[in-house]
Amino acid sequence: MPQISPELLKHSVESLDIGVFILNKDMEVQLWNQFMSTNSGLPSTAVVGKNLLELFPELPQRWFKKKIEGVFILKNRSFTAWKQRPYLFQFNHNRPVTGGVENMYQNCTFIPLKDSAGEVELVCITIQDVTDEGISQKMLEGTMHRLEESSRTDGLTQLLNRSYWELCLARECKRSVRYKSKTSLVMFDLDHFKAINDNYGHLAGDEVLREVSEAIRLTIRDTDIAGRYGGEEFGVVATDTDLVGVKLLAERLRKSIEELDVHYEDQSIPVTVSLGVAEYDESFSSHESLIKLADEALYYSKEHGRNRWASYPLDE
Amino acid sequence: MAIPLLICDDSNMARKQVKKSLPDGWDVDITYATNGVEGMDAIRNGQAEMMFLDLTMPEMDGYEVLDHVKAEGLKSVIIVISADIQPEARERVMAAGALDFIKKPINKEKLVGVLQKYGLL
Amino acid sequence: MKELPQYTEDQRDCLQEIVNVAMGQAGDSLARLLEVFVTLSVPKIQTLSPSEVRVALRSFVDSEYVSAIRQSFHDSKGQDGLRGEALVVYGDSSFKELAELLAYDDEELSEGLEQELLLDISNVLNGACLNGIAEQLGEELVYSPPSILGQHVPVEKLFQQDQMRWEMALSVEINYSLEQRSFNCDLLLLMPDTAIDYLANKLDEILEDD
Repeated sequence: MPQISPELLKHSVESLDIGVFILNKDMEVQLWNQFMSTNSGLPSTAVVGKNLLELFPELPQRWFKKKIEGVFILKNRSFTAWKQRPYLFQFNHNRPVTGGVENMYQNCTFIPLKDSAGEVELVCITIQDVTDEGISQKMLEGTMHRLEESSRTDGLTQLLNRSYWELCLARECKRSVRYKSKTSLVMFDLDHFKAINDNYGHLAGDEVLREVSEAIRLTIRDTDIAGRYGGEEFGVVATDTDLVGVKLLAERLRKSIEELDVHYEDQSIPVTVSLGVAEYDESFSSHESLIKLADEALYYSKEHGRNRWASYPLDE
Repeated sequence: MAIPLLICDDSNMARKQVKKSLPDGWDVDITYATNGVEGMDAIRNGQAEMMFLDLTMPEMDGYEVLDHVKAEGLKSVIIVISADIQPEARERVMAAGALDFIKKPINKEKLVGVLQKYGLL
Repeated sequence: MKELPQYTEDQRDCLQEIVNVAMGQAGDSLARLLEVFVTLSVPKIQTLSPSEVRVALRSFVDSEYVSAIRQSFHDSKGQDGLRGEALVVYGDSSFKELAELLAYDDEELSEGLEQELLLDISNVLNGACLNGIAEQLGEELVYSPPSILGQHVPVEKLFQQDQMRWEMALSVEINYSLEQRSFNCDLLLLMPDTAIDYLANKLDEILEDD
């Protein structure tokens, strides 16, 4: 067996690309490898023999002491992971350009060093740079988030799709029963959309849908929830809003869409909508009843001149 | 004359380990009990001038045995051998009248050490 | 759930005693770390099939929502030796107390901090208990860093049955609670079939020694 000299062993520890340092029970640094020097800016000569917590007052002192104490008492390894505690030391990372994070992410292991009698007088701490893992994880989370979003939105209009929008409506209805608040609904439909498609073509129809959707987004309040219910039918859930309030919202929507100036291949396309509004009542069996009533009001508008709103009950 | 000695532990292995840890050539007359109820019977029968007692047992645990021995004014030198090694467990049994407290796992060195400490050998 | 059908009465008794002692050592570690008295109960040892693990978890966790931490352990012999996973399951009791005891209370108890706290306690319990068992068996164990299986989730959501690639596992269930505090957790050591056989041989060695 080839013998590895203590010098060679020391050199190995020095040149590891993870941080290695050793503390005694008084928190005095006994070893500080190259990785630690480079990243902290403090050479081994400035650190060895000194109290770590005095050298790095920004460390979470009480927590760190308890952690080290635990390793001494229990003679058992202990860990920290970047997911819960992004870093122990505020080191820069080597991805200043592509990183998008501020500090080096670190996984740390606290290792009790047993002497020949089995006693632990020293603790070795290793620090692993896991910035890359952290960044990929963050990117993955971002992608997952976008995927989730995309499964909720309608591709053409970027409003919520029907299934997710209905889920939101159902949730709001339940919530309003629980908190005795009001939830109302606006359902609306483009007037003569078939004629738009026939006269200007389907691409023009798509453009109309996009611009109407944009107008909806700009008109509704932050707490309203807009979705594409069907081909040219839309719905807006008005949270914490009674019938009076939702009528105002319906009128704002009607007006903003009427004022749209939709252009497609140098042709100006006039667009209007017919709307119906209703307020949720806890006697309803579900949110579907609310959709049905708002729809009834919507058809009333269609039959009574279009480009207008009506509210349920219809005799108002 | 042989000393009446009771080993009270629900584990067969633990009882064997205690027996194995007894000083060589010690003149004792051993009775075994597998829980506190059996242990109390043996004490009342005079089979426990000295006793090694486990704490965690079914039926009646070691703490209860200590309480009963005290309440009934029975005479027995009790050394607790316990898996629960918290300092507070030790304080509790000492306050309840145990002579000493040995941490499991038991071995000859620990057991003989305690016996010598009290001049029982 | 069976009471170790593949083990003899002597082997069962021997394992139970070893686990009792290890549990006591782990409880002592916890007590010293937290400076409180830890209440111990008799560990329950049984064999479980994958479908029974959830039932077992349900039966001993008295909480609809739980948080759980897992950690792997193995000896130097790898696949054929002593190895398995340790699960620590916490009911959704107050973590605030625990945070105080572990000096985590300087900071707001955020989700991340709560996770770290759970990882820390689990690591202590697993390490102390498993080291205790290993020491009595004359073994030395290595541990992976602990990781989170689930936080505030229903027991059913903790793991999928089809993730378990074993037929029968040895389960050691230990309950720890702190006196006069609401904290309570269960430690479940799961060892796969091969480890069950290995352990049987080890127990025989100890029994022959007696």
